[in-house]
Amino acid sequence: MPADTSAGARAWLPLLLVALVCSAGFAVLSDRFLTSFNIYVVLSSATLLALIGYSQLATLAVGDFSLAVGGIGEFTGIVLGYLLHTAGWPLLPAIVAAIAVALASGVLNGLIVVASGVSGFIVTLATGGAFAGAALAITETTPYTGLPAAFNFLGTGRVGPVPLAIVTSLLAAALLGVLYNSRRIGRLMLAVGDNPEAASLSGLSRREAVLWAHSLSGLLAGIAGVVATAQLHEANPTAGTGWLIQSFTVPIIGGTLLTGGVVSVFGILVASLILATINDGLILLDVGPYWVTLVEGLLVFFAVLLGRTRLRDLLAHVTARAATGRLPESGAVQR
Amino acid sequence: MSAPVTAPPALEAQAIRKAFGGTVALGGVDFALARGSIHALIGENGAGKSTLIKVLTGVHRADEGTVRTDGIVRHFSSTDEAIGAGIGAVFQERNLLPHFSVAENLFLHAPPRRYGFLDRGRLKRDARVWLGRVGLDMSPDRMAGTLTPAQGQLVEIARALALQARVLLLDEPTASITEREATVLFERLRELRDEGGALLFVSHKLDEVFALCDRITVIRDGRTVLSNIERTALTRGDVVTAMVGRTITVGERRTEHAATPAATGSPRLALRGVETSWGHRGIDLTLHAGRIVGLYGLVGAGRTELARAIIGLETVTSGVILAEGRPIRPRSPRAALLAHRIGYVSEDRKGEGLILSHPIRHNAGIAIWPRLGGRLGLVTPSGERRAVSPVIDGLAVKYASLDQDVGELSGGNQQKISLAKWMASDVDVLIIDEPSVGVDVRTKEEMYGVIEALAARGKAILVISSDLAEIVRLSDDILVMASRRIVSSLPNTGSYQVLSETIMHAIVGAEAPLHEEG
Ligand SMILES: Nc1ncnc2c1ncn2[C@@H]1O[C@H](COP(=O)(O)OP(=O)(O)OP(=O)(O)O)[C@@H](O)[C@H]1O
Ligand SMILES: [Mg+2]
Repeated sequence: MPADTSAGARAWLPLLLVALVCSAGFAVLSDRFLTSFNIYVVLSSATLLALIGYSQLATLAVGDFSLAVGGIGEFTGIVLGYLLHTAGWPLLPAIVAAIAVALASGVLNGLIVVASGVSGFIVTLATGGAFAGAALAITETTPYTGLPAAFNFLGTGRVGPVPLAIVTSLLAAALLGVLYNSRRIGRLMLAVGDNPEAASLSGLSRREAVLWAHSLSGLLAGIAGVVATAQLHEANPTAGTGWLIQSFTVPIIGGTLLTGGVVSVFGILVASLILATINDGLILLDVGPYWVTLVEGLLVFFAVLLGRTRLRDLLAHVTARAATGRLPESGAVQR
Repeated sequence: MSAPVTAPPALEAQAIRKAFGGTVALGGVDFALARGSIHALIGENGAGKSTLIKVLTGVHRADEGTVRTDGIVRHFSSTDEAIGAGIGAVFQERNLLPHFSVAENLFLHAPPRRYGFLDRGRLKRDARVWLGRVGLDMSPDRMAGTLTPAQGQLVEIARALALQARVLLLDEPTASITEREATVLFERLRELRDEGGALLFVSHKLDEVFALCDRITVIRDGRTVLSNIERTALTRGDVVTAMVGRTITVGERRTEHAATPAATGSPRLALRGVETSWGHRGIDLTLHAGRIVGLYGLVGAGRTELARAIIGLETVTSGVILAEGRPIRPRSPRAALLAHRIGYVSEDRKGEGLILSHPIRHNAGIAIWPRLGGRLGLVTPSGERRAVSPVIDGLAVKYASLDQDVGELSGGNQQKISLAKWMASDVDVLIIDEPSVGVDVRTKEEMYGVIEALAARGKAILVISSDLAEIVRLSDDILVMASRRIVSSLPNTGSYQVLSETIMHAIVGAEAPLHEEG
């Protein structure tokens, strides 16, 4: 998986171990942990977390941020709720229209960033607030309930322990993996994130990369918004309240660099699974919600440490030496 | 309509003006690059060479003047458009994507594709070909962030060659590579010229210019002083005079060499049988107060890594480091500086030596902040200015104000600031890695003067250089490193010819068996 071979991108490897150890611990401590229903619960929240994480990963790739992930998610959910509930649209057109609105929101963010030259952080601070505000204004804070049963089934239907909605995050992972590994746009976004100056002097367009990144982020936030609505069985204008922190937590734990240029698409799946597992396990063990937040915070901290320490550099150095059978610097030919 | 008698130049600039705020970088430069020629662009640090290249490639937009390719007026607004018009460039600063493979860095502009997907197989195969052309034998999968400055420079040259552009602009392509790599590069450039290519070559190394180029243009303070002259019609003296604006003599080697007192007492710094995790074996090295030792070697010999081991950035696996006769083992550059008064001027100025978005005075004063801090530990701008300005003026830095960001200075002037930082500091032992990369001939002399003055004040100095002339000019003693061993240790007799033959012999002798093993 070449997009995952670069430095930082394998930070999730030790975390897989953490996940297994935690799961084993929870399984011993609570007999409700390994039930089919509980596994479904974990996978469901991991699905949503992964989509939220992908939405931020898209902007992190170019070295930018989006604070509008939650706002776009909520706005998309409300548009969907309105179309299904008030306007009485059929399921498929309503979903497509809602996601199109999300994409348009992302494109808008991208256009503003590119045209103004202001960082995405500031632009999305403003637009994210606007989207969230629009969601609240449309609903006057009352969620749309009574959505079609078929739609609710998409959110909470399951085959044994596997939620149907997991298709969305797995599909996103597969497509993003190909995008960042092999497609021109994906490589362009990573190149600009890695070294904007060098990319521009090589004739690559920073504006194009940033526009794509924000558009993609909007699209993914919209998909997260649709999934959240289906899982809740209601379009809630405050559904995205906690997304902002999560949208950073998941990629960082997964090994995506905040500074741009390195993403770990697979790492997001691992990270979201770990967060969902720990969250679920602690709730099963009746640990208070504040402690859950604390543990999550510690987890981010350790993830960053594991990913960035000299220990990892050392390992990389040793493996590089073992792989090439000689010292790194002797690459320059001396004849 | 009759065909023009002579073809218009491949690339032409007329009356180019470019100012950055109050600084006029180019004040009306004319320049023409003909097909089938290698054209040298020469000038002191800050003369405007890089700015001209950036205007020609659409990185900067000229305030006035016109750019033509094959007689057609162009208004490039990005390098993409310039590449589209057949103009490739290697810029002075390194421009690689650290987390991308060498192969992908090579074909950043137009990577090979199959059905719309990146074709990694072909990418690697093509990369090997172009790396081979500049004499680099490395895995195309290597991350560009792990390359040394010299390797990075060669990769960028390979990238420019891979564009197969008709016009190639090279801004100090040989700054951090040795003669041997340069020789390979020059062969390629001559081939390109013979195939009708138009090449622009910027360098401060006049030997190279006279060996390689057909035509010479000299600019001074943003104005053309010698325009498109046949090389054979000029002497080095003419060129230097044109650059500097007056006649100066460029020294051969330090004349006061005999005056250097013989080594007495215990050495300031000594290495005995040092081995490192990088593969150095049996390194003996002695630095005495007041003396300059030159460490010569080819790129990749392990000189920088040895310096890094001394200041604690690489692991010493065996042997001893002695400071004033006492064994030491610094754990970090900070410990080396504070506890043992050893300073190291990195060869990677941009990556390790400077904070580009900070003012000159910060950058030059950073190593002496503890000393500058008053009773409350406050570092004031005026205190900083007072402390750094003598050193900066001593190195003839061209700047608008000490509050200017270092990133706005020309490449050579940035170089001087990173040296100034250590000259201002109070160390006993100074290790200087590639002191004069990218520095013009006049300043080189001034820089050597400063280094000699430091030695005269009792400091022990180790100069690492890939420029043999520089080693011969500066050192009291010469050490030669090849494949991470000291293969030769000789007193400086001052005879460049004899020394250079002895040294090359030592290097070749040391390397031959290694290649057979590999
Ligand atoms: N972005 C910038 N902002 C402000 N001043 C600049 C900028 N770029 C260049 N300059 C100024 O323009 C002048 C010419 O710089 P340039 O980099 O073209 O010199 P150069 O001839 O390439 O020198 P060197 O040999 O040191 O590379 C210098 O005085 C420099 O400080
Ligand atoms: Mg320059």
